[in-house]
Amino acid sequence: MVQKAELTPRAELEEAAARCRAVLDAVNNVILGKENLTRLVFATVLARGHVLLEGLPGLGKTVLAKSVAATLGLKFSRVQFTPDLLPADITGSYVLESQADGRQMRFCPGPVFTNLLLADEINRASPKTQSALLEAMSERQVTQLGTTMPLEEPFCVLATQNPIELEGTYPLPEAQLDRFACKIDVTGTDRDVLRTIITTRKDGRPTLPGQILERAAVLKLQAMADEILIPQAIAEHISSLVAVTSPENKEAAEDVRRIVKYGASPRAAIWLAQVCKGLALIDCRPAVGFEDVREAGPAVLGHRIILQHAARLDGESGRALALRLIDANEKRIIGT
Amino acid sequence: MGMGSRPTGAGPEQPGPLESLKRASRRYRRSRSAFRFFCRLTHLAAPGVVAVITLAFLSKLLWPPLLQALWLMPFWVAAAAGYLIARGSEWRISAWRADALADVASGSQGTFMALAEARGEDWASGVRRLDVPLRAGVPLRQIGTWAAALAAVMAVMLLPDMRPPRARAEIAVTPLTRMEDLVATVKEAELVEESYVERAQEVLEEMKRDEAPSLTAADWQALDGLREELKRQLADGERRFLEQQRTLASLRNLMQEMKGLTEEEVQRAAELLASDEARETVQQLAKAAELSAEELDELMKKCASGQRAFSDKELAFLRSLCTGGGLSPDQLQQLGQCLAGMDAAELAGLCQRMGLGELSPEEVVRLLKACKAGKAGFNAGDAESLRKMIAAAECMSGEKAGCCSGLCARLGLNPCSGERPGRGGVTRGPGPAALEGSGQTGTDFGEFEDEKFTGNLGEADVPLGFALSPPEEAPAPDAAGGDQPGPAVQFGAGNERITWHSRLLPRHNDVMKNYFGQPTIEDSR
Repeated sequence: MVQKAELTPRAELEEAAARCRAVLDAVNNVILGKENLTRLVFATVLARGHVLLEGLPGLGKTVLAKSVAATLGLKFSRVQFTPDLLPADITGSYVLESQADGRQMRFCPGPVFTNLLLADEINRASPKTQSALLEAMSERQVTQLGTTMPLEEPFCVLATQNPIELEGTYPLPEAQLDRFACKIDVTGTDRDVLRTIITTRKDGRPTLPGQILERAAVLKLQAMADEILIPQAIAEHISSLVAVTSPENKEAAEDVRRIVKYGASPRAAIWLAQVCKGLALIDCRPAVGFEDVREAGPAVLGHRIILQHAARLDGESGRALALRLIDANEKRIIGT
Repeated sequence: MGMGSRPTGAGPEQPGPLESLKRASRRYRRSRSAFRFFCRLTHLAAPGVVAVITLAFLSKLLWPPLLQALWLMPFWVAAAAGYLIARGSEWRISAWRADALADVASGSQGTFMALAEARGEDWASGVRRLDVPLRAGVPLRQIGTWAAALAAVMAVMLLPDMRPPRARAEIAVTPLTRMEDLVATVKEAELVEESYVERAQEVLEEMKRDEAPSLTAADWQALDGLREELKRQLADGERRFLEQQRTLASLRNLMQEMKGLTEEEVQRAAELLASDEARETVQQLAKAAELSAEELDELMKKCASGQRAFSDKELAFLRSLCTGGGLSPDQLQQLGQCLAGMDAAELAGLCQRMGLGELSPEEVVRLLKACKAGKAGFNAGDAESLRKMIAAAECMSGEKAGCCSGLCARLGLNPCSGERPGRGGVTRGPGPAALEGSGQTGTDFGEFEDEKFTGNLGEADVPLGFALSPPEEAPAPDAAGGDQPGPAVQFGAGNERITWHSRLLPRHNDVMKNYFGQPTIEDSR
């Protein structure tokens, strides 16, 4: 008889969830009216993933990144991506220094050597510079002049990009996009939130939250998120969901075959499961549920589903398609 | 507390949400699996069921034996069910799927699924109870499909057959087979003309080759005609053989009963007795007749002197010597005609079977030729052989007549002699009557030969049933319209009034009495 796995003890998980709630409460006090956004960003951080925030200027993307970094007590770096930014400006470079015993090459680490990197307006840098982040994001290490230097855990990139003012920008290539666990659309705030903002903030600037956690606690939360159980039904749901996004798959729906050019990669399934675990941890649940997939799925899959040009012109989006696929697949899994 | 009553305290303990959800999940899993099995079975078996029903419908219209295909339907459904059972993954709901549904339906957000797959008792309180039971659904469409299929089967079964079933065809074929057997028997017994038998066999073969499952009206008509013709020919054969038997019997009796010899016969015997060539034959015949040498010499003298007074022993010897058993040449020719159609080998075999002694076919052929030629002068052995042959031929004729009668009985209920096609009244046989333009009576009067009446009418021993001479007390002449007796009075053969046959009602007797002046039968009593 197969021995059943042991769920995370309830007390431990409740304590972890309480910490998560504290962090989220602090962030939500700064970023008003965007609880779902902050939940997803924090869940991605717990999943050791990277987040790409896309939205119009002034929606609080940078503030969100700063707030998360502040509450988690992590080292924070910010890089404002510009067209003339060079890879060495991110990863760091060797400089020739005069020492007592002569001149030596010394590595000056770039802003990537941090825990939480805010890559602001990432699409304004050249592809070469954007690619400088590839190794750091996936391998969590930087190689300079043949020397590989690991990045400190936790490492999370929060990148932002502006969907307008596309002139002079370099859209992220698919390989780069795939490195981001989630791509979250930051939408506008409603009237009540705006009223609160302008009435409570005297100089208009948000007050950054204080530190709630420290680095070790974040690492422990990430470890606990790994222990969250993925039930068989959810595993089937996630795997088949990612599989049916590919038009070559025989089980793919007709509209997928029609409008999708490339489907999601296996990395999408990995990140989806991880982000769902983070959401379950935040909600103090021992296992991932269908709601987690429904919540994280569009953000994880939306930017990985590459649509046909015609479909884009028709107003289709990967996110909307992912939502439809999630609903359909969930019905298929539970047989309703 | 009475039996069966429940304790009035706390009711049965309600299962916890986790246990309740597990039960609901199991129940749902079973019912949903059954639902899916039924749906898949319907989907899989429907084409076959439709095909079988269509086949049954067409068989009703075209070929009823194909209706047996309806039996294929249960087997088809069973085969589909067996296939589905073997491939359980196609319809069986896995436990994790049922648990997932229960989890979603209860809003447990993965906790129930986690507890179903992992241990963690402290999480049991995180499971929520179902607000509404899980329902697997009712396969109404599939049930409707099966109901429609059953209705279609019943409708097909209730449809009348558009073509006769195989059983009817078999019944129709039976007379054909029976007629074939009969014709074969007739051919074997050589009772009917061979050319007609061959033609009849050709007709029957043609009917048999016809692919129609049943006999047509023309076939029935042909069979009927064939039967009538066979019956006619067999009846003729029966009459012929019976007549032959009678003739042979009379000849046999004649041979036995003839006592005297004619003058020519005596002369012929004297010549034979004096002849040296026939000496040996004479010696053998004398030995057979138990005549001594002295008696033989005396007989030779009698014959030479023309005397006619012979003893019985001498008469038998002479008859066997010179007259061929005592038959005249005319009678021998008649015998030859009777035996003309008989097989020599069969006659010889029949003689042996009857215990009449050895008679070879060659001997029979020789005798038949001699009879046809009307040759007299058989020797003693020839006469004996002739007697044997007549006896065997008589037996054979009887057998042939019996065979004809039996075959006639197979052809119809009435014997041949009483049933002729188109002839007679109540015994009229089936079949077409000859268009002779002479009423119902044909011209074949062979069986009623005219006989010359030689006896005295008054002494006739035949019960005629009516008076042939007037009675002593004739009724009133005006009443009978002449000298003939009236219809109410009949007389016996001795001219006596034997009885009064009154066909009148009692109340009419007085009228008759007053009119004729004679007592009625009631008065005579």
